Amino acid sequence: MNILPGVGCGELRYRLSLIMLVLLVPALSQAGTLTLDDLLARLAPPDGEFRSDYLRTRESGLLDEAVTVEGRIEYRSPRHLREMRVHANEPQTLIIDDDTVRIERADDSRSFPLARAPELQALMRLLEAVATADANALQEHFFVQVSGSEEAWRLALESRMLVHGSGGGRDGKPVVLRVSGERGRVREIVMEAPGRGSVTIELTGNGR
Amino acid sequence: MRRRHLCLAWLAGVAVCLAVVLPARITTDMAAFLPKGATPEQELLVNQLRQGPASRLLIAVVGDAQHPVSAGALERLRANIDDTGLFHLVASHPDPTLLAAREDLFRYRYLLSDRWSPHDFEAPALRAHFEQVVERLRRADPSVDEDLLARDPGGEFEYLLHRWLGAQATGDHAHGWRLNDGRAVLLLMADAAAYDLDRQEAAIGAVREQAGALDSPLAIEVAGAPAIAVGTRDRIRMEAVRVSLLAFLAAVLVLIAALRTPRAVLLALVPVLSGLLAGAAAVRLGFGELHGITLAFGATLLGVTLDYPLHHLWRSRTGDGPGAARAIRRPLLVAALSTAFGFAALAIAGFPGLQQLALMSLTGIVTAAVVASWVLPALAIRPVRPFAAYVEESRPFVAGWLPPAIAGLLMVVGAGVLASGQLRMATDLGALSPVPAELAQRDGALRRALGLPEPRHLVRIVADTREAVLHNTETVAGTLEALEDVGVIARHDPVTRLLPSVRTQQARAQALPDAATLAAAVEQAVRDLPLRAGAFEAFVADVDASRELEPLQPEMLPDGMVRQRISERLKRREGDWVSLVYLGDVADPVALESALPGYARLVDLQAETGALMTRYQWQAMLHFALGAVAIAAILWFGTGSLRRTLMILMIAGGGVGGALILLAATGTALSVFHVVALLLVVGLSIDYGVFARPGDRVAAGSVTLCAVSSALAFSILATAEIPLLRAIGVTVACGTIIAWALALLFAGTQRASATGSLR
Repeated sequence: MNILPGVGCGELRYRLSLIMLVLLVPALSQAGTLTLDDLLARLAPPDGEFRSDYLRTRESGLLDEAVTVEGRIEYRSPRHLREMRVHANEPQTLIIDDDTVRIERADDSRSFPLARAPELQALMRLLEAVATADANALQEHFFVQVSGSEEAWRLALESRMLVHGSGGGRDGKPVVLRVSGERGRVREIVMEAPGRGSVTIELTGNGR
Repeated sequence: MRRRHLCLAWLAGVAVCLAVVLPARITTDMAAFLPKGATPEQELLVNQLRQGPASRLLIAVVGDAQHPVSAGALERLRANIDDTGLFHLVASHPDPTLLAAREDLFRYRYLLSDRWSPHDFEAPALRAHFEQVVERLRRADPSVDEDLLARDPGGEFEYLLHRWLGAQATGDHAHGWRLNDGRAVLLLMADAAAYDLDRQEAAIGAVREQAGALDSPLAIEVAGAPAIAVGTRDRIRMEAVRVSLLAFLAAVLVLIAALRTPRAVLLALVPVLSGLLAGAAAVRLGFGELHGITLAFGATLLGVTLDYPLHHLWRSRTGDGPGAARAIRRPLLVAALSTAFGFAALAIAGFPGLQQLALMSLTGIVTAAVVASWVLPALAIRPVRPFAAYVEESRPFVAGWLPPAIAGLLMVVGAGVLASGQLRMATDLGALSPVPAELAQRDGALRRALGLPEPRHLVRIVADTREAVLHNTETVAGTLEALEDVGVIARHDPVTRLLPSVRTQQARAQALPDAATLAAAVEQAVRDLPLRAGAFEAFVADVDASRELEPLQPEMLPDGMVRQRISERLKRREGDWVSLVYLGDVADPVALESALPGYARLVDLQAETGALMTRYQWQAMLHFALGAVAIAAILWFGTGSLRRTLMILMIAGGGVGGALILLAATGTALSVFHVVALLLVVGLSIDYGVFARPGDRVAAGSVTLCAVSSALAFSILATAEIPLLRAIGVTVACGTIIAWALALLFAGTQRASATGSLR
């Protein structure tokens, strides 16, 4: 039975398939779109803790080459971070506990308030939100944008609080975090803070 | 006819006084009751006592020793307080990013810093700095600001911050300010002038509110100069109200006990309240304002002037109103005048606030006496019946020699106590300050715990222009630096560390290299270092810009901690400029003094305290002597009898001696206010001496009641928190009771005379 005069049977099937595809694609893409809650639910570790080895690359506005170091990061909710790395043959441990940062080296150790290092503060907020799957907390501190699919997702965070330079300059800029990963695993975190260059942390090894 | 005229005149007077007093504001400014310094050094001391209007810093102590507050909770509190918008500055630790003047100071860093020389801008020195920069960048310290490093590779700004805010500011151990007992501290500065106590109070209230509004409320204590000012204001107000009410109540109770009928009580209140009203009006007219302390003191007048209507009302029991009035008029006026003279001693030079008290008392007493003598008889148409009968005759019941002996003994022992030094002279300046002791002590304890020492030694430099005084300060600072190196002084803090003289700033600007020279040096120093091209372009540009900067003046800085610190050390005084250099411990004041140039003076605040106290005490004693002579003269003239005058003087002397002995026994340190109060005792004792006559039980009763009401009123004053009021209250209460006892004893030595006259 020929419904449309002037169109052959094969052609008709082809056109129908096209129409079906056109109708289905939105539904398909809808099925692949990730929401923030979904993402956080996937990422959240069972006991609020995660650990991983990493490769850390820092790009500085002044140094002509990026500096890359290896290290290990451990996070425990709430708000406890431990990072161990080796800089120029010197082991260094960074511990963040609630609102204080402590850096321990062989020859000296210092501590200062977390507010002094805005990129670390942003990182801690991100990690805490991930550890507790708390989307609201994340949105309280950042402008959030989720993109990509479950297979390859991206999370772009721009801090609501602006950072001013410690010397001069009135205009403040936000801290920007770009997180990317696949399924339930974070692959890479890029941190950009005004006056502190950009740091890329590539998570390798076990853990989320 | 005359009666009506008198009443009308009195009513008119009351109306005028009300018109003057009612619109008056009640002020609580501490300054009126602080002594004026005689020398500039003492003036400085008094300013320290006032804690300077320039000091707007509030200190909030958070948490308690058992439960130290966590850094997170403190930060949340800090942020909440900041959000109220009432504060310029809310800091939990010395954070340079909170400095309002940060940008200006950064821009001016090369003109303000004293540690660089032209060598530091040549290639070898730059190389060393750059190598350190690379090192810090490589270490990837989270607290490193790359922009700052790039623009200030020599670390000039960090050096300046270190000098201004101490080692804590530059990030090494910036945990925040903590007291020895672990409590955390917030430093705040309200967005309000130091004198604007209403806004300061609102700000302090907001701080307490925020501390209580947290999920787990924090204990908080707010101290600092504005808090003291607000606290003192509240106390003064409360005291004024409390003392006045209690004194009034006491007066009414005494009157009720004495007179029994409401009409009599009301009549008795007429001269008393008239006196109070007239006193307040006089102060308002004479000083333009009415101080809270004056009002509180004025309430004691209620107790003192109660005598006059009582005497009159009791005398008029026979129904012969005008006759009684005439009979009593003279002794009443003599007593009132001598009492008024006693109160006039309060007008000691250099204490403007006390002069207010003197004027109020003088006017009040004289008015009360006049109204009691003339208006009261006009008002009292029907006689009043007292409850005690008049006894015509009585036998003497006390041996003739006893009262003079007792009085003599009291006087001698009292004088001995004074001369031998058993009675301490108050050397603590707190005895002079109207600030309640508790507030001053707490503030002192907090400052010590925070490591803010009480300033003792400082160098005072005077010149006629600001530039000249800054230049002189720089010269002196050089000398002090050398002395610090050899240990003569522990440290020094000149204003030029924050604000160099124009000359110095210009010299530094000229010593900076120009852009081309510096750029060449930078290029050479940067060679082979792993830095991007143009990494230090901003640095070169900044240095070049610094050469053209207008020298920094304090007016160019925004309101904040830096501006305040400058104004604490650089002041204008009557056309001159004064710079104060605070010193740490001074090991050898003599060496220091001799090393200073002529325009600089070493001031020892502790020594000045002693000098000021001694000066006022001597002055008070002089007033006492003069006042006593004047009173004696009035008495002799009034009574016409030397014997009687001497007797009355012995009563007064006994009262004074007894008061001195009691003060010594309780270990009270004698301040200038105590001395002034002694003349008050003399004045009141006169009253008892004049009226306590032998055999006159009615008079004895009225004298007793007067003594009771006076003692009651001054005892109420003795419970005040304000040191000045307390001193006067204690002394007078003791003195009057002893004088009363003596007066009755003296009266008991003589045979009654039937005429009941004074002679």
